[in-house]
Amino acid sequence: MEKHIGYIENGVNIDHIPQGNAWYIIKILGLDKSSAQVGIGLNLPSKKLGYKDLIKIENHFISQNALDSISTFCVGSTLSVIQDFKVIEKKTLTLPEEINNIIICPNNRCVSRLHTSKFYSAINHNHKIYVKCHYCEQSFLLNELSEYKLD
Amino acid sequence: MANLKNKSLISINDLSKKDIINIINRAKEFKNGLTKTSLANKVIASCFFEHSTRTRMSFESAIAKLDGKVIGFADSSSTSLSGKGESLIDTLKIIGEYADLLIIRHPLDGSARLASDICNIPIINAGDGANQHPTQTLLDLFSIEDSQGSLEGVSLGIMGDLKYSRTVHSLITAAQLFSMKLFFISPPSLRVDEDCLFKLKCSGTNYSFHQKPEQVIDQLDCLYITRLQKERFALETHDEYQISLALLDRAKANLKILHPLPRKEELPYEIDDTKFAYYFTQAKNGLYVRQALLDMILGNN
Repeated sequence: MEKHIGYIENGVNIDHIPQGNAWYIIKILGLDKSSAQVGIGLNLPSKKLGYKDLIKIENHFISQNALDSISTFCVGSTLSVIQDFKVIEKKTLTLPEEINNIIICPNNRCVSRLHTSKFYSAINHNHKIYVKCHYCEQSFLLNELSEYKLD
Repeated sequence: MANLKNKSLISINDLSKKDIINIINRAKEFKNGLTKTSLANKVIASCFFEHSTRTRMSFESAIAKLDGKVIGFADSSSTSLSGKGESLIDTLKIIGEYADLLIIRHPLDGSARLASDICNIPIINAGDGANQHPTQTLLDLFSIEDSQGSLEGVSLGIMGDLKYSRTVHSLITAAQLFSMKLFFISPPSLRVDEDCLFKLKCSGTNYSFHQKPEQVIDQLDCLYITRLQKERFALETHDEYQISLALLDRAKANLKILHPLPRKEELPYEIDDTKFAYYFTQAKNGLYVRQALLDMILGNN
């Protein structure tokens, strides 16, 4: 299936996206409103993840800022930069220490719901990634978050 | 933080052990009779978006004793925030232009941090929803130190709602810094949560769980009592979390009982006349701690 999405001449591949998260990346990068040609793979079989999503973007490069924004949704994914059909750079995406205005704080008494949100990421005692709200100081497991600011 | 000059106090988590000791030492000076007029010509905004009579009066008394001036309001019903629906952010920005320091109490968690992010003046958090109330924690620590002569190694019993109480969480966080021995006394359903216990384990803090105060009363230097909120127990009663004169027969001579107040049946009036009652002194200590903080943050030293 993966090959049907096609090869790109110049642009970026984001592979090994956790299943279901391609949607968030498309929204945050504004790919649904851009002129870039985008190949999207959903629910592809993956040895590492079971199932994964995949995005290929033709003639498009992702800034560090944008990368920090989408990393919340693709920790451990691989980003490949492609030039003339060749991978010229490959890196594994990690969560930035600070996540600005992406997560909606699950604490509905938190003042960030009226304002911009800011979270700090860390690893907890079970080796799971959690995020701590700059405002209400509460911590949440990253994979248990359900609400995001996407526009 | 080291030097509090022009800094905000938002969360007990922002303070180091040294910061806490410095604040306690300055509070001690005020308790021992230090008088200062270090806030002369300073305007302090005391903004209570929800009412809290004792905290507000304690702050305003501390300001008055340092010769500062207070502007502000005691609850948001008397402000244009409720009537005209003004945004909290705009209000805070404007107050930041009027005053030299802002004391804020607000029902939303994180509101004091927001204030410190958007205002150019120091902020003191006087309670942000269920999150933090750092001056309460500091006055609790000052009271333990003042009644026992030290914070290090004190055997501290904490009784009541250990799961949801903001006061208790902050006190436990700070107690770890001083190698206190902690005795948690609560019904199983209101035990300290897992995250908090993990932090205690990491810091090597000595702690134990107990269902009744009589199991540990003879070991304690301080017993910190919080209210069991009735709404959490529709069907149960918890008389065993009430202090009695009989229970105190077995207490150490130096035991002091602390309570953030207001109290309910967990702390009967008959305890007030015993040598163990310390909670009114504790409330008064709040004045010295707030004088110390205001002086350290804003004083002309």
